[in-house]
Amino acid sequence: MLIRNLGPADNMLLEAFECRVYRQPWTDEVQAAIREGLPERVQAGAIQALGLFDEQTGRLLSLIAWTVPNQEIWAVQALATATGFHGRQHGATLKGELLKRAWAQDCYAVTSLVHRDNEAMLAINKRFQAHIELDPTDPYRNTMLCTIIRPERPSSPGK
Amino acid sequence: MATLGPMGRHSGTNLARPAAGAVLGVVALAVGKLGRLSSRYLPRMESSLKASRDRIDPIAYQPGASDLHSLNFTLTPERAAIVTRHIEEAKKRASA
Repeated sequence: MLIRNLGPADNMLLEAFECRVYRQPWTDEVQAAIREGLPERVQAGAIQALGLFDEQTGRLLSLIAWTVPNQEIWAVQALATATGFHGRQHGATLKGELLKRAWAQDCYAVTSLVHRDNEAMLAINKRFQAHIELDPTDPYRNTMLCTIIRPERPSSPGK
Repeated sequence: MATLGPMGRHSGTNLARPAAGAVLGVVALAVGKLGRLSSRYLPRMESSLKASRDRIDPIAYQPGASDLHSLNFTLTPERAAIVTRHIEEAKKRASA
């Protein structure tokens, strides 16, 4: 597996990315958002994205996209795995990679919105000890705000 | 005509045969009836089950926040307050 930044050269891959899953209606929305909105925003530099590729076939298996509203807090905009490649921890791998990058750049929290029916995504967040609470701006009370806080760094000797 | 056994009583065997035959006949009729009924009703039940499956929404998926799944997740002041609270709590725990 290969993880690398996604850029304008990957537009065709993003426009054809398929992540719809039977009986998971939200995956329709995620797929549409990725195909229709992500290439343009990645190209404009408004969103950053990482892709996980199969090195042998060059296929894009999973992607994560995020914005940096401020230095302390990063906001995950999308985390999706290609149809047929679920259950292989690709999403968790990408989330872990994003967290590594965030913590290395003095970010304190990585936050995301997750629908309360989306058990797989909630499980990934729990795996990283996320604080999960109802999104205060959702009038339907169906969206969870998942916040992963940077683990305390071991203090260096002499400090 | 009933036959008598060696002890002068009915042996029972010859009476049991027609009784068993009658029971088997009734069972065969019942099975035949069930078969006809099932061939008539099973397809109906099947199509009715299929129709009910199609009617049921597999997941009662309801809308969420307006910026969910739209690549427009913004850190509103309410959300930022929650995230900041978690950051502050973590900092306090670390310094304690």
